[in-house]
Amino acid sequence: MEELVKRLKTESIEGDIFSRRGTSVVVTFEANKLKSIESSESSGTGLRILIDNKIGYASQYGIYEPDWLLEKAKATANIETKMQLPSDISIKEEVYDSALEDIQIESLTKLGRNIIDKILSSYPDVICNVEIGKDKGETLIVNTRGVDCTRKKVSLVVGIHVNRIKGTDMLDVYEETVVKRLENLDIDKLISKIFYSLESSENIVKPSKSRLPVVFTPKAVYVLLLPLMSALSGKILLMGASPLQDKVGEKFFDEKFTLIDDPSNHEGLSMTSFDDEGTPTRVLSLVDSGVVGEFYFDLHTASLLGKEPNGHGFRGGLGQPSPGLTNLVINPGDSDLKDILSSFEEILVVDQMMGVGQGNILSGEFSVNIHLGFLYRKGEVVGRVKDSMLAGNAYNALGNIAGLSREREWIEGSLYSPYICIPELTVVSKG
Amino acid sequence: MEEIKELFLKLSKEKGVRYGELRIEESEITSISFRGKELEELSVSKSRGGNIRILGRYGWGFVSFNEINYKSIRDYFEQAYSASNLILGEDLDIEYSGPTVDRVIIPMEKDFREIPLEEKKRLLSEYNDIMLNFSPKIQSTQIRYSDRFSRRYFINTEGVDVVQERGDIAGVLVAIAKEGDLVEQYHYSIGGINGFQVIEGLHNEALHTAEMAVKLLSAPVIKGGEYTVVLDPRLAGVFIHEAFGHLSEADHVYENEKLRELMVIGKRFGPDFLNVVDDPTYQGLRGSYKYDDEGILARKTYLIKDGILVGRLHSRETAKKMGESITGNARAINYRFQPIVRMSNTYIEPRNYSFEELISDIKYGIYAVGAYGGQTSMEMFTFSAQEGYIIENGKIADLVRDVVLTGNVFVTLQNIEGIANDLRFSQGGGCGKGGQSPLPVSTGSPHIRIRNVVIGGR
Repeated sequence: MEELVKRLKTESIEGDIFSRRGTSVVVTFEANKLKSIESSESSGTGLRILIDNKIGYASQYGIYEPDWLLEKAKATANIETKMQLPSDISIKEEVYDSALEDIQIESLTKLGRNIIDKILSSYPDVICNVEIGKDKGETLIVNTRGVDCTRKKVSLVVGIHVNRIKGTDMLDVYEETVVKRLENLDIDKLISKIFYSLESSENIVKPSKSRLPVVFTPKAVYVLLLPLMSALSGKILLMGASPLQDKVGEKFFDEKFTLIDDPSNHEGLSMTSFDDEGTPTRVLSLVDSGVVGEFYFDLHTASLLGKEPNGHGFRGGLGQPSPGLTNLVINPGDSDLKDILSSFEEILVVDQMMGVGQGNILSGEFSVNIHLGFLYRKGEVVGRVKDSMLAGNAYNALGNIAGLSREREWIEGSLYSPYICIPELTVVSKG
Repeated sequence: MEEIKELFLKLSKEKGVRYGELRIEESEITSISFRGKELEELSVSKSRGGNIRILGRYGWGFVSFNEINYKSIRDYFEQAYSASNLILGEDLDIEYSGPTVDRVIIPMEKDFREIPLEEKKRLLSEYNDIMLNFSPKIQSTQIRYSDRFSRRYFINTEGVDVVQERGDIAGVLVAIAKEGDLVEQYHYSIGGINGFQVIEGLHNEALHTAEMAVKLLSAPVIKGGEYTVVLDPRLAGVFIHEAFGHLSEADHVYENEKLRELMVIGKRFGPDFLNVVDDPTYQGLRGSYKYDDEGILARKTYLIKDGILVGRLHSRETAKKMGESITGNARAINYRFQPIVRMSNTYIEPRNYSFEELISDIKYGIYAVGAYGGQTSMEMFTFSAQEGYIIENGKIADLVRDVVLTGNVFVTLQNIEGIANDLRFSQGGGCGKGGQSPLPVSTGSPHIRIRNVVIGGR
């Protein structure tokens, strides 16, 4: 990397070099049996240059040819920008739990075996697929203005999928957890959620009416958040396509709704003090008590909009930076989940959905299949709702919230959310 | 490359490996995108990597890597070999195919590697300008384009030695219309494997994309309910991919006794005029290939014939386990992943009706057009249209938006009432399964008519 930075400097070209290296191990259990053990080593480098206020970009996986990178970056320098690279930042960030780092393949297979045995001992007629992966990654960003930052991370992901078939009725329950510290791994909690879903699905039921209150579990909250996550991106703002662009400072959502993006959250998988462009990150207040707050930017997008960068330029793989989020956190409410459930005559709890994001996300409209949902009457679960569609508009839903639970859960290490209750949505069921 | 291959075979022989594979993949990608009038991305990327997969007595050891040299291959082989031996349990066997040596090059009429960046950019900006200038209500646009040339080397311990080269273009044109607070969008997928000409001359499609985005602004949201629907070929292709295609992937079925009972060969799933096919040998589609990623020669497979389940898609492992013929459907999106059972080009065969005949006796129904995407959980599935039209007394009437349909595999296929004669394939599709997305697949169908389909709505 250093030679390449030197070369850029001798040619008086500004630019940054981004590289990733990673190793991972994945053990996969299929139909209750250990099926494969997988490991991976990867490395790659991306070069971005600025020539006459134009961006050029080239990247390589598995090969490192500085001449090729520089030549292609020059050849692609077409994108006009006003961005300035950050300068003089040197951070070495290590989020490393040695207990997790040292965990061996044998321990992972044993963990998987234990999970399956526990599930089968209570539910011998189900089929379990379990995937456990350990991921170690190192990210490096250097530029010609004295940025030199590295980030090292190790994480463990445990995914459990349980399938139960009765007649032609199929039930699939998915639970997943990602941790950065081994001590935070709570397998019993995952299993108890699976047991709860299995127990609650014994009967298939239908809501008595088509408009009813709905609780979104933390896992299901994404269907409401996706439109906001998109609308608050600097890219959508730049296109003039954000429904929130002229709502900043206005109370657009329910006052119970507060959403931040928190790169400093220690439990979040994406905790970092600098983004993938070397800009220091900071907490963003996206929605504060219903009032629309900040948008998020990478350097280039911020420059086009004439805004201050806010440390949210992230890269997928070795792609160019674009506006991205880290750890989304929604403020809890003041009621227990069970009190929310028992305060309605009949209420639907949605946990898994199909078709999320397949539609016009910008408008906030959603229409999804209830893949896993439960009906409660007077606070007691009466069964599973299936072959049904749930539809609504995310902006309207978050504009009128009946309640948020005190309990919160981490989803995929990137969203910390309570259960959210919307007073009325439409469910269409089969005949 | 030759010495790497020899080393792999020598190591396999030394260890007495029953079955092992080495894949190496080189690719070069050019990406161009526009967002509104701004050029958003222009970049080039190059990649080289590989993997080794070894079958142990009870399971698979797999290693993927970027570093490819004499020393590293030795280490990776050792890793994959020892991983395969860490697995204990039931004996695992696979189907064998025998030796093949081949080099497959899918010819491109206009090789995109020879087209200057400037020219690619110019063509895309023409489409962009058409959309941006269509109407003041067009708020913005998005164009994504990428071309990828890849060369895949595959060898295994039974003497398969195949090199496959292909160029693949994938992308989309998006128009975004805005009026007051309402934002609507419409897209048109572009792509293909036959060369750069597949994305030339799409000026009318760009115009139509912008026109539809504007029209959707004044279309009402569909009212939820159960409808008789007619699906256009694009949506019907996605429908059959989701409704039945995934369930015919044997890896969902082979280890699941109860599902095997439900999916037994000879069982009726649809009316007797329904034929469903998966065919990687269909020429010129994005899901086409000659050998799959286990080195098996691709072939056409009937999934449903005359309404009856007659076949399913297999890998070496699932074919052996189920005692059915291997089909050549084990695919991986790239060298980072193990091959798993996937579709290729999946379609419904055409029948006799014209489109007009199909809708003529529908009193009140929905004509659903274009595809946003779909998802399945095997039993239930969803698929979303880009636009819908009310069918009233056999005539196409008003436009409606946000049309998302759902169905149940044991019910919905039986409810197919008619299949037209106008089979068409879509090129743009990317399929996701087991964390591997997007895999190039194509879907095809004539117009089809289905009764009692649940559509979500407020």
